[in-house]
Amino acid sequence: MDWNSLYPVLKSLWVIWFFVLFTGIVAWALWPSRRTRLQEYGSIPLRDTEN
Amino acid sequence: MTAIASAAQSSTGIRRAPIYADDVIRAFMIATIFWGVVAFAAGVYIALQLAFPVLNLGLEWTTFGRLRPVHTSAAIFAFGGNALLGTSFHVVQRTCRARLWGGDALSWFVFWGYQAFIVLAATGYVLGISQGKEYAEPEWYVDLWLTLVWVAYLLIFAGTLLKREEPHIYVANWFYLAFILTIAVLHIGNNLAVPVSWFGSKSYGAAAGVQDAMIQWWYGHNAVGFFLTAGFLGMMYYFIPKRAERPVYSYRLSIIHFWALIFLYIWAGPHHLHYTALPDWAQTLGMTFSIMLWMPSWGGMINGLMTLSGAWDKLRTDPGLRFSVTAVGFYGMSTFEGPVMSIKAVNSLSHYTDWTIGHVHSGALGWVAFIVFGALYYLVPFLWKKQDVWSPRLASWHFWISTMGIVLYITSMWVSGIMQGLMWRAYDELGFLQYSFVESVAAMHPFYVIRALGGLLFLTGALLMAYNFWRTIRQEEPARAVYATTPAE
Repeated sequence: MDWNSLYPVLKSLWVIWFFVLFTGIVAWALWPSRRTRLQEYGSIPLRDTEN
Repeated sequence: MTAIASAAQSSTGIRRAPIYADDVIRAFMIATIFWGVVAFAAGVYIALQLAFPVLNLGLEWTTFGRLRPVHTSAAIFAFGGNALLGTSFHVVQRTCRARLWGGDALSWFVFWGYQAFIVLAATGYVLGISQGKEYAEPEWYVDLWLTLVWVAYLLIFAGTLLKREEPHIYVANWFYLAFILTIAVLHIGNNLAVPVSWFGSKSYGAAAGVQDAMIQWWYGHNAVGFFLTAGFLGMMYYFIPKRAERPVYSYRLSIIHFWALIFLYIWAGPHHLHYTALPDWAQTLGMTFSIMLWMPSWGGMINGLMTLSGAWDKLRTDPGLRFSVTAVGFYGMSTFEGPVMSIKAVNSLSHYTDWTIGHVHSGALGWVAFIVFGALYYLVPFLWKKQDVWSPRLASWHFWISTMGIVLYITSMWVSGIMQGLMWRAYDELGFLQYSFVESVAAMHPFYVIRALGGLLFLTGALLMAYNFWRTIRQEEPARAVYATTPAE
């Protein structure tokens, strides 16, 4: 089986790849060890030195 | 104005803010207010034309068909667009702590270039120059000009991100960047056309038939998703925390909100083409992704609203924040209604009726315009270095008058839309259509009058706002003490 014939199969599974990628993003965002650091980013707009 | 771009390090080690490019943002805010009034006035006029056709005046330039794109483009691209460009320049500078990339000349080019695009497009419509594609009416010469302006805009935004002092890119900028990039792709993709002559306005699109229709609604729905939603969500993620003086409820939810929206929105376009020549599987795909969009939309709404937890009392005293929070409420409502309408069975009743118009306006007036008003009530006093708006009381009047206007608008369109859909599909006992088309038009009349009244209230509110801002900018008052500590520009 050559790689060219595999390409359409992989391409037609796009919804799977996107789902895996998205699940990865969600897991990354919700990973407990990142909690404090990510939540701290929320204060960026409030750290303005102008006011 | 000196071109000191990077943050100065003071002797105490506390970073001072750089001198931001605020002049161009002030210009964008004035343009937003001006085009907002134009868009709402045009809307009231064409609403009255539908109720009283004599207002077409018997002239080709003032017919509903030519004035309608003037209204939609003025509302979306002129009012919404100027608000997005201006606030994105404000937000990207503040959250990156860097002055706009590319110098003043480039940002002023984007400002004037964008106004020129609006004027070129609108004058074309009135003269009958149109591609006939909804929300993409401008002909090839205007499209080319906008492409140039938009690339300059992208360069400024991305350049500012690249030279940021803040290590992390705040989430509002992700939404703005997604808006800028996606609109660039959509605009080019949907406007591929061959002009008939070098000096003529007419062109023919590259695609034809159902492919053309699919490309048009891939463009059209993602204009809703990325122009009218993603960009304004960027506004939500900056101005609500800023005004409520507390960070967004969950930054992690905002990351998931962003990526879910990006992954899902791009597939929803086919729901505009239910029961057409578009293949059935594509229609079902569009419907399915539209329903899935419920989740990120409501996740985002919850994130915006919960930011207020512990600060709900601010709603009583701050009309600007009240606008922003009500906007998020309308965002939740119209993103609930949208997926319902994308279901094929519901769409068979709602499509081509006034229900669609009502839905669009609960999004455009309730979400887009209100989130802009909320940002303006914060930004105008801030940028002109005043304590607050001239009259918070008048701002409160603006809020209630506009809200009343929206309620009249959407309820009348619900009733007339559903009635229209039911009249069109009604059969008598012999299988003939029960009503002629003109009977359904006649039945719409009272609702068209109510809708025009709702629009008139919305316009009145916007005029109160414009007056309030004029007085705010003109009022004599010492500069804010806190602001005066930054170096003079």
